Amino acid sequence: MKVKARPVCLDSERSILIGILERNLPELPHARRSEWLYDKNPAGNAWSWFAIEESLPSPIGVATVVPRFMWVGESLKLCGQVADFAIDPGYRSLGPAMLLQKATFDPVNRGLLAFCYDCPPDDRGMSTFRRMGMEANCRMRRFARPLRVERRLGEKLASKKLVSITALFGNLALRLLPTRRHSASGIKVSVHEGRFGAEFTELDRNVRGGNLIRSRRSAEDLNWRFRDDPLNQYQVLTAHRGGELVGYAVVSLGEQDAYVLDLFSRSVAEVGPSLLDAVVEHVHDRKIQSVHALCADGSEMSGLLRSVRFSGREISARIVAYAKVETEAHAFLHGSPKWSFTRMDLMA
Amino acid sequence: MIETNTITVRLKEFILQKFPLAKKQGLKGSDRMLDTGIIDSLGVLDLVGFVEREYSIEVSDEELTPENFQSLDALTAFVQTKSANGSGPRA
Repeated sequence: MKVKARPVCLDSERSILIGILERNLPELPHARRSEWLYDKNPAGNAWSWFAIEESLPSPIGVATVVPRFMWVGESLKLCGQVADFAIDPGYRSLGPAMLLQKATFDPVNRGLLAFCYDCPPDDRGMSTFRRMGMEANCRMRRFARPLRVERRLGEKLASKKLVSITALFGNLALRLLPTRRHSASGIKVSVHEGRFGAEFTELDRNVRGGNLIRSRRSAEDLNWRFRDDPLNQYQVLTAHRGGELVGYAVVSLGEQDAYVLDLFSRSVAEVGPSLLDAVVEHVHDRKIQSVHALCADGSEMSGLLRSVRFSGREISARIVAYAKVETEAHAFLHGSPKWSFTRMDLMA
Repeated sequence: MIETNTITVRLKEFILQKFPLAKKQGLKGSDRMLDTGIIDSLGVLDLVGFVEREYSIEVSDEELTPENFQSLDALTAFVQTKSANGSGPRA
């Protein structure tokens, strides 16, 4: 038995790729998101590789790299995120995964990408990297702020009536908990309907530098990510001061939970609290039990979240980045950069 | 060359101790460990570390195949072949 990795022809082999994803990652409607994710991305088309076993007619695994424009310090670089990594159960002996993981480094080694990153959610996902002697560059922690208590009470109390009555008091208590109101001077937060425009591109251009790694957030990027996504709808809250866009938050609403997918601002410490207050107000009447956010451990955002009554929970993902040695990107990655990553950066 | 039975016993001991599903279900020599989820990729990594330490062998990426890691019997045969080709077990 000989397993090899080879590039996928996305024009002629798309259905085979989708077939592997559907049988291994059945929770996502892959066919519906394929064109958007692989072909419509403003950063460019995706690259994919199959793991093939020579004696079998069909591939036994697949991996993809989706390009992303990223600000790496002062420079805008084309980078990539590993996505849609799947291997049939009988072939999870690490070897095929190693082949595919190394294949995802190919665009980096060829100089097409400055670096690529993967986001293993757990230790199991780290196995290929550990084998290669690579460790996580940063860890992403989930934060949560409870808004209502029905769900928690429902787990502990059998009687629905008792849950309802107790929840009245619990919800009121959560609502009345002393919170510092964050109405930073002159900032007006409002719901942003419709597509992202030039002011978002302008804001993105004005926020960069230092030792920071973050995704580019041009209007084109944001429209693709949040307005053209065929599977999900998102709500956007903007913060303006004197008519100028100074920050925004993107929120996804589930049945009982809301997720802050991105929060971006010229000054997170100044504008962030007002935006998060507005997010909480925005979702409060929708029976949302908790608001969740994800950010790099120890980042400025994690401090902001704690300051507005979010509590740190588990590590939800690790970021492992690969850059070719003796390149600018490699030096940057090994210079202890600040990863300004949010949940958005983990979404494929 | 190390006896097959000695290798099997030692490997089985490690697998039962390390992987809860193997301990729960029991483990026969021919049981398919990858298909059934007894070991996953992280488990393979642990197993590789164990056999490399225990038998002073080096396992290459190309050898991390289902053929070698699918069952206790397959793993035993792999370790025996590697030991015979390379250095012996640690004293």
